[in-house]
Amino acid sequence: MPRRRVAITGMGVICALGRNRQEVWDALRAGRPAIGPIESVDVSDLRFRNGAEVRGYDSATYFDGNRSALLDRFAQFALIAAREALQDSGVQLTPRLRESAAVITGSSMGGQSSQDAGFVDLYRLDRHRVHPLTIPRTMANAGASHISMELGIVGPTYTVSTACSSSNHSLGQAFRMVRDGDVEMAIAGGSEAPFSPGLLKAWEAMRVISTDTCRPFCKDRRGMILGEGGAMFVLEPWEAARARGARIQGEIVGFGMSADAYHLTQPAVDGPVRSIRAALRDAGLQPDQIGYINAHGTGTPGNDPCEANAVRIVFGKHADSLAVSSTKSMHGHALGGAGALEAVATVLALQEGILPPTANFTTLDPECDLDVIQNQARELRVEYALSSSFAFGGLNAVLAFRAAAG
Amino acid sequence: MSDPLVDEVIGILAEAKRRSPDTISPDSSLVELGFDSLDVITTVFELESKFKISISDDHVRSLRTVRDVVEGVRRLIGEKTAHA
Repeated sequence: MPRRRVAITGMGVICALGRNRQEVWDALRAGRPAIGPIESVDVSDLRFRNGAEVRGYDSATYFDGNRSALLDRFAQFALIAAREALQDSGVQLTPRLRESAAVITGSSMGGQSSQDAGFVDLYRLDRHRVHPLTIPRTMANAGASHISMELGIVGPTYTVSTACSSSNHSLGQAFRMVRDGDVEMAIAGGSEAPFSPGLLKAWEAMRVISTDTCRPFCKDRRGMILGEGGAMFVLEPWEAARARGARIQGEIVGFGMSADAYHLTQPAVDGPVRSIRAALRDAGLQPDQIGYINAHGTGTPGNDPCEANAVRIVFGKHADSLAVSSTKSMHGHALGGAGALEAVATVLALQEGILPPTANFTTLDPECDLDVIQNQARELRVEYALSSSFAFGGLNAVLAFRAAAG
Repeated sequence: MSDPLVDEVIGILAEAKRRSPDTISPDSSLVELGFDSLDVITTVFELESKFKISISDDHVRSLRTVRDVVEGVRRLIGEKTAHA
């Protein structure tokens, strides 16, 4: 079967910036970060205080009591985003489509809050037992399973867990399944909810979390800020989407993967270079056709110069006229959900002709010598963009997007 | 003159890299001793447990030599004693 074009026909998102795509986009285009004191967990015993939480989140707004008992917060975010994406797409799920549709989600840590609560019962409260729903709430595939069950989708359904690249891998897999004719539709993306005491302690011990805010590519950057949320996409074959009169919002045109085979946590240059090149090759694009990169840009001392170097190597002179931003400066680093949140930012940027900035920007680090969009969004029509994720464990995944033909 | 704290810190660093303490001096650089970022945070974790101190992220990032580590630990132990 010849390769098919893959249209994005629906998007849904919930994160610190907002409860739906409009709210999230309003914050992104305004360069308005949602980083502040962590409220859902007692942080008095932590070295860091700030995060990007979905503030005031009440699961009862979205799920009845029986349902939310089955759902860890990360799976709730997956479902909320999937509902919005499906509604946005206008897809009518017929029995036939349900059989030929895929659900692919990404999550790095799964239901940490549920697991943590079980361990508190066991080790601190000496209860000698944990809640019977701990396992189904904690499993990393809970998001995919709940989406499949709620929508009655019975085609290929699974979860990818590659730390901070999880949802770029899941979107890339879904893109290829639609492109290659394996499925007629895919719901794909990722979610994460890392605000649980045990997990925050583990991140504290990694010593990569900033004590103030997230300033990617800045000289005075001090690390990343954890974020939470979920984002999902509806992907369909271009011709089928057009035939049903769908509003095509953008296109995924390429996907590249690589591994560093170098170090568990230290970034490398070579792996990211190969994944960016693989995405360009897969899309049939030349480097100078890319106008914007939504960078991995964690704001850690290690990542940013490495990533900038990789971009320089791939794009050469064109790097000077290539706009780059890290929206993690606004929605935080949502780990396994990060790629999906950033894909929303990238697709909306292409759609609106407005490239979101790197917020909290102070002074460019000379080691990150790129055209970083600083604090204020840039009005610029771009046809092609990349969104990069480079995970702990040296696992890299890069997506290439094209603006919908206007 | 032997400094027990230097010996103790060098002992922990030597254990972390599975090398003889004789090959480590206060002037040794952590990078030359083969410490990467994971080795550093793991060793700092050991030092914090051993001496019941808390070392800030900025402080950890500033560590270059064995002497930096020893003097940092000495200062934090001193501060802890002063507050006790």
